[in-house]
Amino acid sequence: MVSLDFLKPGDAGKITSINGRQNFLSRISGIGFSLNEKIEMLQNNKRGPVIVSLRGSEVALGRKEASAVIVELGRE
Amino acid sequence: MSTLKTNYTIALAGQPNTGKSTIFNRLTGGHQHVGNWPGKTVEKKGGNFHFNDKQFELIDLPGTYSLTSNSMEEKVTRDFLVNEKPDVVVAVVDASQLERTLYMLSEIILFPVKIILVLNMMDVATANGVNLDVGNLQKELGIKVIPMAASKNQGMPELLEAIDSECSSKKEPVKNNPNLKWQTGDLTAEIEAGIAGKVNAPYPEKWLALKLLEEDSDICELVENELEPAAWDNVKESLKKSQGGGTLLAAGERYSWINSILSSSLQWTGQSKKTGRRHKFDSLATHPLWGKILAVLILMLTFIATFLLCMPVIKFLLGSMANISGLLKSSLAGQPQWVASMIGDGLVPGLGISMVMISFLLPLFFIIGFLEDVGYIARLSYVFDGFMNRLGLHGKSFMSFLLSFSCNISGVMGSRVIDSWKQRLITIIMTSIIPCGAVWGVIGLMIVIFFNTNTVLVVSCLFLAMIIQLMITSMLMRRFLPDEDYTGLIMELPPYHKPNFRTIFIYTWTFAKGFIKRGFTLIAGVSFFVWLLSYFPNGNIETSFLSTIGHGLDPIGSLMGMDWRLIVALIAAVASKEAALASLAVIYGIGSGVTSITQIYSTKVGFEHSALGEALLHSIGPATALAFIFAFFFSIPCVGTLGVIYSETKSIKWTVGSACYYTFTSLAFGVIAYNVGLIIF
Ligand SMILES: Nc1nc2c(ncn2[C@@H]2O[C@H](COP(=O)(O)OP(=O)(O)O)[C@@H](O)[C@H]2O)c(=O)[nH]1
Repeated sequence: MVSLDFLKPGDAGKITSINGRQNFLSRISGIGFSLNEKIEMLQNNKRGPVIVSLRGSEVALGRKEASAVIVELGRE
Repeated sequence: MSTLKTNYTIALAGQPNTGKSTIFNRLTGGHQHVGNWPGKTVEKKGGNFHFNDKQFELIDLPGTYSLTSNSMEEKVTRDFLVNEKPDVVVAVVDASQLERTLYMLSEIILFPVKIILVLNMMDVATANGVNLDVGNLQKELGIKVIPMAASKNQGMPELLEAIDSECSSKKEPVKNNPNLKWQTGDLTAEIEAGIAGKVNAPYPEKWLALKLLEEDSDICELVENELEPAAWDNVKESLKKSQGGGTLLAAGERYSWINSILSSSLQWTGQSKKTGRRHKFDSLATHPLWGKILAVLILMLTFIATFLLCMPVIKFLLGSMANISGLLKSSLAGQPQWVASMIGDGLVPGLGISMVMISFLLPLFFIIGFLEDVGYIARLSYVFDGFMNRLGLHGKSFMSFLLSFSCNISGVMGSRVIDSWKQRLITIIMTSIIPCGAVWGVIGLMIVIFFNTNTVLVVSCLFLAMIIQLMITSMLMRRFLPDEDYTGLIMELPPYHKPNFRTIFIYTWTFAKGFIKRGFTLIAGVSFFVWLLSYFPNGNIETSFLSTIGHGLDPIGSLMGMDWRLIVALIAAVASKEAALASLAVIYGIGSGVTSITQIYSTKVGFEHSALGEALLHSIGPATALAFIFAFFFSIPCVGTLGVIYSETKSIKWTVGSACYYTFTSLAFGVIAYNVGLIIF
């Protein structure tokens, strides 16, 4: 299990947990994140925000925010 | 009195980028009014339309992803749903991103309101291979579902029919809908049972239970006040079982509901969901290096295009203003001199500068509206996020800062793309640090006159000071305005869309109206006031009130080595930055054409720069010049900017506060520069 910011473009997995305070969790939920949801990394440069794809949408996440999302690697 | 109701209130709700504005514009046409929600800084857009001899008032609720109490926009929406009880809520989702955009419906559907679900962007969905059984979806949800493609004007008549028939239907929604096909989670069920029948509030119980699980602060407070202490303790016991994971549990429950609803109605034909394959242009636009270069190029093109578009208009305006002013003055020759001067030097120039600004801002906002509509602005925020983080802001503030280099007014108004209120306020206040084009015009001349060979050095120092000022101000702002809600960048990158010029025109017009209301009148008013001060009591600026004020400020001026003349130039710049040069020209008695400092507001600089340079070189030293350059660079925002700061924040406190703060820092920088200058020279 790794945090989202370690995924390379093309890596996919399932969200196993999200850490953070209530307002962060509720904002990130509203934009499509939830436990056990499939997620795929689209763009990850060593610095700056990442772009992921989930529920058919593309979402940009700040690097710190991405590190709060824990993912289990592997495609079904 | 007729018992038949013919006036209905319809609310439009949905997540951002689902096409809400497009639908709003289609329904209301030009009949819209923009204001604020009472006591809030959230914009309230309303409009009217007629159908089947009935009148409908359409309220555009703020575009948000959910209904928590973390943001004012979301609170506005949920308060509206329970307090104003709209006759029908039209919930808009993006049919090509159903799973995600239905999240908002999962909140609203619990409320006791009649709902129509609009599946917008059906054209995109179909092209992506989405196959939807609308009839089945309608059955599963128990509400009317209308497929639409708003930008292509498809589905509009069906929506109107649906609104009309829902309004006339006798069926009243109940507070706790028993027919909802919602598989309640164990914990939610437990909490729901714990509060059942005990909370006297307009909110439905399942919704309350989910909000408690989410630890929504307002709802926790509300329920705690409503329940007996023992009952509240029980609820708290239940809540503890989530072990802090309540927010995610509640979200999970909502998404499960969405999936169960969609499972029997949604099919993907052709190749299944597109995965991972990205648009070529988007890879470029979000590239850490090329994306930034592209962004700067696009914004430079924006400025160039804006100038190309507005230059002829401005030329015409300036030319005709000078003529009008001259004509008026000569036709008023019989009147007392002050009357002619008031109209020719006071009123006409004030109106002139406002019109010049509008002709610059209109094309600028049009192009920004275009970039926003096609979906590019989100990419811009993305590539500059890391950079803006260093200032404690996120990428969405970047455009404001960049726009401010042309004009601070546009920077302040450009902050509307920022969704978090505190981030937006910090951005609005901080854009004033950025020197606009007019500031560069004035200090450019001063630098060239005094520091010819060291121009690069001085400009570098200014930039360095600007960065320091940005960092200090951002630190102070965050101290005064601790942002517990700060969540960094969490932003949807909407798919690119073909531009819809109707939306863009309306967007531009809304901006223009905002500016006319505040900026326009203020600039005209204050430049008139500056004329008053410079003319009275006896028509000579050297003995006018303005110079009295300048003399009065001598003690402060002397800290920077400035005499009253430079102080007056700083004051005149409040009406418009360009005015500083003209006021110097007038005071130093240079320039044949310029007799009043306010003339510069509307006419081209009518004096010899070299003559002004000579005069300045002879009367002030380099240390004072340096002080003036720094003080001017960081001077208080011009009135136009202050006007829009007020109209965007609706706060006298922040408007006056920022004016005072920047006056102080401007003087501080002036004093520092003067003393450093004394050492060097
Ligand atoms: N293809 C397509 N584009 C649409 C449709 N409705 C809106 N759009 C476009 O989607 C973008 C976002 O629409 P807008 O109304 O600004 O969304 P809002 O953020 O929800 O107000 C704009 O570029 C619209 O022109 C539609 O039905 N089909």
